[in-house]
Order: sequence, then C-alpha cells, then structure tokens
Amino acid sequence: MKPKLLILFTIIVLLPLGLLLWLGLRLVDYEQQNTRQKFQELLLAQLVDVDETIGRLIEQRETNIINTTQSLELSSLSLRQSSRRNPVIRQFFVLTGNGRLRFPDPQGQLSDNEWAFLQRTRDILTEGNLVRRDPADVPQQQMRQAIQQQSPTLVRNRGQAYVQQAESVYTQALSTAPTSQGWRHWYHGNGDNLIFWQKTADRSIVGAELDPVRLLADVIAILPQTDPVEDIPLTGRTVLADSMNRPLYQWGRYEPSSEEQAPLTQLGLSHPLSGWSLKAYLPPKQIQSGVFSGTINVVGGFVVLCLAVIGLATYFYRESTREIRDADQRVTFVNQVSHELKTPLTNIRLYAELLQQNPSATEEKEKKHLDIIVNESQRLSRLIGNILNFGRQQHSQLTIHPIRGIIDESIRTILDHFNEAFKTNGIDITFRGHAPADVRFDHDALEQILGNLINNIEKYAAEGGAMTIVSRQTNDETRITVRDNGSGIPTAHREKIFEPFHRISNKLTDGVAGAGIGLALARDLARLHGGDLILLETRKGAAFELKIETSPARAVQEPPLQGT
Amino acid sequence: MKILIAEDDPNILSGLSEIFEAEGYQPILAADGQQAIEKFDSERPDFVCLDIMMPGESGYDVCRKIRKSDSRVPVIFLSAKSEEIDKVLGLELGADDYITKPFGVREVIARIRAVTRRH
Repeated sequence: MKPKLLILFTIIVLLPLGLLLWLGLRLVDYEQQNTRQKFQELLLAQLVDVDETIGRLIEQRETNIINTTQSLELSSLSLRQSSRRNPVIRQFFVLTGNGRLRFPDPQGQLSDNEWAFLQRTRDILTEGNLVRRDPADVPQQQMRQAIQQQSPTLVRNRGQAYVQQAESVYTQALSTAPTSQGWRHWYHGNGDNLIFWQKTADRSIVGAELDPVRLLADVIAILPQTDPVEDIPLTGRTVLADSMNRPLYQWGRYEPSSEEQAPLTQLGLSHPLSGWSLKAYLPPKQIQSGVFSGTINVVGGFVVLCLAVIGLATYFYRESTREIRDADQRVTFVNQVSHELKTPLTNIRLYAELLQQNPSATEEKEKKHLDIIVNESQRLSRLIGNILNFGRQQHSQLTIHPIRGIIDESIRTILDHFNEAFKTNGIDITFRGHAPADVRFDHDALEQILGNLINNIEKYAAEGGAMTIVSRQTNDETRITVRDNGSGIPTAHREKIFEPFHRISNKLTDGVAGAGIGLALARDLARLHGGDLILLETRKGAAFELKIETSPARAVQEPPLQGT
Repeated sequence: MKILIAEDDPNILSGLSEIFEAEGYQPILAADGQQAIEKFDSERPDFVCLDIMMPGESGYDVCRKIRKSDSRVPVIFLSAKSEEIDKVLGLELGADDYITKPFGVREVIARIRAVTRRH
C-alpha cells in the first residue's frame, strides 16, 4: 500500500472509527452517570419519605406537649406529676418573663431528675438562648404548613428538588413565623436532646424536654425492620446517624464493604432533628450491572465494525488492483499478439518479395524461400488458431470434435512443420512413437497442444539443442511426453505457467515474444479431451506430459463425415 | 560497407542478409543483443540494423551502448512494435530511423540509402 493511500485510509476510516469509539465510551459513561443519578433520586425519594415519617412523629410530640401544657395549671406539683406521668416527656419547665426559671426552681427542693435536667440545660435555659430565630427552631407543624401552602406540589415532587426548595420555603416560613413557640435542639452527654417551648399570655415560657431514649425507640419503631421479611426491589442499606455521625439504626440487607465506602446519597433530617442524617448505600454491582454489559456491547460492536470496514477496504483494494492487473494483462496481451503475428507476416512478405524481385535466383534458393513462406504461414495460422480458441475459451465455447486417426501419424505431421525451424536453430528432434492404434481424437486440438509445447521449446529452450517426444498408449488413453534440454522452469512458476497471460518474464522488451496463452490453452484443450497437461519433475530442462482420452475407433460407429 | 544486423528470428535475419548482400553490403549477423554488442566492438560496422525485442539485451539497450562508444554510426530500428511511443523512444535513444514490421524490401533499402546519404 502506498503511503498516500495509507494516510487517506487513516483519515477516512480510522479517524471516524476512533471518534465513534470515543463517543460510544462517552455514551456508556453517560449511561453510568445517568443510572447512578436515577438510583440516587430513587433512594433520595425514599429517604425523604423516611424524613417525613420522622417529621410526623415530631409533630405528634409537638401536639402532645401543647395539649398537655394547655390542660395543665402551671403549678410545680402538677408539672412534676405530669413529667412523671407522660412517658415521652422527661421534664417540663417554666421560665418567667424576666428569664428566671420558675420550675424546676433551682432554689427549691429538687428531685434527682430535676437536678439532672438543670445540669443538662444549664447553658440554654435563658430566654435569649432558648428563643432564637434559628431556622432549626421553627415549630414543625408551622413549617410543614408553610411548605404545603406555598408549594403544594413540592411534597409530591420528592427528591433533590424537594430538599432544595424546602430549604428556601423554610427560610421564608421562618421570617413569617410568630416567635411564640419552637423547638430547641442541643447536644449533651452522648446524645441529642430536644426541647419544645411556647410563650404563654403572661410572657412566661412553658417548655418540655423530650425523653431522647423514648424518642429514638419510637423513631426506630416506625422505620422498616433491619432485615425485612418481604422482598424489596432495592436490596441496599439505609443508615440513620446522629449529629456525631454515629449510626443509630440501620436497615436493609446489604452490608457496605468498608467503612470508607461513600453512601450513594444522603439526606439531613428536617428540623428539629437537622443534626441527624440518613445515608443510603447500594451494592456497586447493582448500579453497574447494566453499565458493564454496555461497555461490552460498545467495544464488541466497535470491533465488529472495524473488522467489517477492514474487510470491505481489503475487498475493494483487491478488486481495484485486480482490475488494474487485468487491464494491464489485456494491454500486454494485445501488444504481444500483434507482435507475434507480425513476425511470420514479415517473413512471408520478405521472402515473397525476394522471390518477386530476384528472378535470377537458383532453384534451390527459390525452394528454400518458398519453404520458409509455407512454414511461416503455418505458424501464422497456428497463432490465429490459438487466439481464436482463446477467445472461445473466454466465452466457454471451446469444444472437442474427435474423429478417427492414428496418434503417431499426427505427431509426425506436426513435427514436419517444425523441421525447418529446428534445423536452423540447431535443435535435434527425437521421436519414439508407441501409439499406432486406430483411435478417435481431435486432430486440431492435438496439433494445437503439441504445437504450443514445441513452439515454446523453439522460443525458450533452443540452447538445449534437443527435443524428445515419446508417445505411449493404453486401451483408451494416450500419453505423450515432450522433453527439452533447456534452462527449465523456475519452481515458483511451475503452476503459474498454466495461468492465462502468465509469462515467466513479462517485460515486453525482454526479447522473446509471446502472449502467455499457449500453455493455458493447451491445458484446457487437454482437459476437454478427458485428460490433462502437467509439468513433470525434471533435473534438467522441462518435460510436459500430455494425457488425452482416446477411445478405440472400432468400438464406436464412425459418424458420417460432415462438412465442418 | 559493413552492415550489422541484430534479429532473433532466424528467417528474418537470413532474409535481410540476402537483401543487403544483393545491394552490395557486407552483412554481419547477430542473433541477439549480446552478440550484436560483441560484433559491433570487433567488426566496427558502418551501419547498424536492430530489432527491439530480442532475448537478453533488447535493441534499446544495444543502441544505448553503441551510442556511448560511437555517436556517429547510423542506427536503424526494425521492429514489430508500431506504437508512437516505441518510435519516439527509439529515436530519442539516438537511432536515425525506425522501420515497422512487416516491411517491404524496397522500403528498407530506400531508407538505408537515405540515412547513409545524410552521413
């Protein structure tokens, strides 16, 4: 392949193929991202559900506290009793309008629980500290209402959008919210604590601290079981973690392989448990199952495409070179044939003119000239016969017409044609005939085959100085070998010499002329005649064996002679 | 006057030889290119007739070699190759004339005389 062609091939074929592969891989990558994102959205929606469930629990607590405090007279006794009776509340408290703690009264008599409560809430139980305009401290019910009022579709459109928009709505809700009640979250000891407070008409604050253990137990109770009995489509793992990022509870069958594995998606819980977070894990296999086969498909498809393109390119390249070669051969063939025809023609004209212009020539010389003219005419008709038969062969019209005759006699007649030429060239002819039977064969075909073989010896093996022809015969087959002493046929050409247009040396100026159809035609004729023409293994020179089918003439009734 | 004839077909060779002898030339015969070069060197002919398609060295090669050692001796190609490009190539190589086969006896003689006259 020429370099120019190679560059062109690269530009036209390899570049688009490379681009295609790149795009394919990009597509797979995109698919992967897309799949991941889909899973993330799905899981996020689940987490939002969980968040809402927990949110409703907090809301229940809120209602519970509001109802309880409303029915209470805010005396120390009833508050203390209530604290004990209500399982979800650890401690009630009352702050006076000037920020002093009225219950439990630090100066009064304190139970162990009350004392512990004061220890826990030492830093936050002042009005300024408790009632902060902090987003985290808007009452749950108010916030939910605000969200639903302002954007009723939000709750339905879960996922990322929900979270993002909820935040903005949440901020708006905060600005409009009355600061008469709220949640306060703080961290103490080893866990999160929550207080719900509300202002009363006399500007004092009544509040309640939730029991964190009870809260967690209730939260866990409303979450799915750790090992669900029923099959759920996504076998992942969801983890609820507190504000120190310690796992509080987890469910789902999948066990994340290592601590470092990042969750596929996570969500911070809504107020007031905003320190808590939900993390969702999925087995990587589940996310990538489709992606892997996608890569295989793209790469496989690409390989197939490459092979197809290469195959196609090779096919077209072969076709075009074959066409060029064929065209080349035809041109060479025409040149060779015209050259071949001109040589005998030149001789005939030359000697005819010599005879014409030289009346004084001796009789012997005249005979010699006439002999040459006759021989050259025969050569010419042999050539024309070759060309015509070749034309027929090209159109599959080559046929054999066997008639009665004796092989050895035919061979002698053929040899007679070459006697003169061989004498001039110094080639000795030896003929050993053992085929005297009266058989049926195509005389013209035999003459053409042997003529071509002998002609080749004259042209290519004259320096060997000898030609031996031997004929042998069995019942219905005749074999004729033609040997010479010339330079032989190179091994590389042993089979190719029988291909049309093939010449051992194909250069037109190389001297010996020839169209390269003689042997091809001879073999075809031999095969049509029920035999073959092969090149025998020899140490010196070349030897061809011709085998033809020759049925005995007696066995078949001679057909009446027709003017063919 | 010696005339070298290089031609691989023995009949054409002897025919040409006969013609030139009748015209009073002294023919020197070569059956291929190699012989032609050898005989040119040994016989120093006054005129050269070359066939183009010969085994071994072609007529073109012979002409090129002759022109290297002698730029004056007349050279004529006698060839069956009748394409214009063949004639141009022959003349470009330094030949004085180009005769295509099959040729007439009188034409060959007339052309040889014409070329000889010019020299």
